Amino acid sequence: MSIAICCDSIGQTFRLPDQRQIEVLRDASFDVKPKEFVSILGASGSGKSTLFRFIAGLLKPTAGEVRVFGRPVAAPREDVTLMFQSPTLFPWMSVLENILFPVSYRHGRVDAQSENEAHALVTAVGLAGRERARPAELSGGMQQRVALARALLGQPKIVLLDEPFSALDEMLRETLALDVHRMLAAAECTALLVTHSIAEAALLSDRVVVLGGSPSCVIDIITVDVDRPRTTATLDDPNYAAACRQLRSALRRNYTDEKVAG
Amino acid sequence: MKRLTTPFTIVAVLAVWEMACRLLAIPSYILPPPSEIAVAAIEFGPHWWVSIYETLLTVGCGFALALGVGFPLAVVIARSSTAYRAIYPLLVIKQSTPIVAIAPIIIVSFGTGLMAKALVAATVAIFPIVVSTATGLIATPKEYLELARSVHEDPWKALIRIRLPFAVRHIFSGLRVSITLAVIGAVVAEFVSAGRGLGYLVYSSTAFMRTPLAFAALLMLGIIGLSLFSMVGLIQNTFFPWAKDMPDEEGANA
Ligand SMILES: Nc1ncnc2c1ncn2[C@@H]1O[C@H](COP(=O)(O)OP(=O)(O)OP(=O)(O)O)[C@@H](O)[C@H]1O
Ligand SMILES: [Mg+2]
Repeated sequence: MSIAICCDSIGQTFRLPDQRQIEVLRDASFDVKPKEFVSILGASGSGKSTLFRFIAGLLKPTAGEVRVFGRPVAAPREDVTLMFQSPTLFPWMSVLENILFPVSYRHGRVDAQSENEAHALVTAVGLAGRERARPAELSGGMQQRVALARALLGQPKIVLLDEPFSALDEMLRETLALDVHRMLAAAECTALLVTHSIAEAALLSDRVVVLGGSPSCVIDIITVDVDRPRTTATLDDPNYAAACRQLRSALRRNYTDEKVAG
Repeated sequence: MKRLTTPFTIVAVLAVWEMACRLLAIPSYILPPPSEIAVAAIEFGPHWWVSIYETLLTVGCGFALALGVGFPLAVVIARSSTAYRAIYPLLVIKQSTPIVAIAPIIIVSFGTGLMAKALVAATVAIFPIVVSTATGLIATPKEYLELARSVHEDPWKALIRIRLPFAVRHIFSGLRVSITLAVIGAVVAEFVSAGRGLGYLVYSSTAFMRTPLAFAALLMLGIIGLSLFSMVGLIQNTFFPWAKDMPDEEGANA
């Protein structure tokens, strides 16, 4: 079993309420190996979040198939967690309750082990002392970190992170991203990340999938040839710089193509 | 200063009223001055309790009935679009028929007892409960439901743990309207059934030209309506303090 996630010729056509159809994805294929960290880069509206919903089992693609650990995805799996693009915190729950939501919702109660894990995660995302706070009392970046902690709870085998650091300041983003990378590596967790930042994709990923075109497909898969653990020193690695350059030119090429085509 | 605006307005209105009645020599069976209303209210003394109790009982039972029927109805409407299409138009028709027209029919069919009066009150009070509860349940952001579904697929669990808490703000705004409507319904029922209670007091004292007492009863009804309205708000703020700063329908804390 050497493939964690397999997207096999995925296509998605949405039918709008006015009966118009929009084809978002066509024939998109890529694999993610166990323990690998893969980023997805692509223009806004290229179908990245939609792709995550397929893998999470929330939506079935209109064409092609998604397999997780070799099994076609029919429903959400317990070992795959998804962090949505917006924090999606429940206003009636405290920070801690929000983080523990997957456990309490699934089992109807919270065990001591999960609770300890949640406390550790609160600290890991830099929110120690705010456990009892309500989401409304938190800044956008803090809410995002709560959502991140919730996605990391319960030792998932695969985490899907949809722009998890977008609301954070540059320094916190770098620090937290590297912390999360280390945590995921230690837990031998497979990670898929959506980001709009070339630097972030190159810093964290083993490989980067670039989406482009309209409807989107995979236009490039770029390997970032830098050893783990990733640290701030990675930023000075010539291979990191090379990956950034490659990613930029792939995106740029697609961007100008679309300008010309459109 | 701002906090004094309302009391000041009230005092000013009462003063103008009193002056107008005296200067223009308006007969008190047409428009009694506030002072006479106050005297009538004091003279009525312990009889108040009987009337207030009677009306509150009707309001309470009617409201409870409206809640007991309206709430499950809202859940059904929110769960199925067929039920929505079947029930909603009926509710609207019911709501656009004046309660004063419905009340006599109910009283004739069910008698003049507490049950019949509560039924009249419930008939008016049920509408906002059903509409706002169903609206809140339906308006639950898609992302909340997807998050729940990604953990565990169970529509009933989602209803209770996600949709219901989300709808709390809607439900309470419905309850606030509903409780004041229940007071109106109770008064109408008392008018029609000629029983006891504050509504009947207004009715009977105008019939006997005791206008000051009618005004006092009216005032009492106003106070009861306002108190019940505030009480619902108080319950919300005590038990669901977070509901005040809920995100609006579209964005889940975006
Ligand atoms: N439920 C839906 N119904 C109709 N169209 C949809 C639906 N969900 C997504 N789309 C469309 O699919 C396209 C891709 O959406 P998606 O959210 O996957 O983009 P994205 O790559 O995540 O963009 P961003 O970077 O801005 O988050 C958009 O054009 C969007 O309008
Ligand atoms: Mg997206």
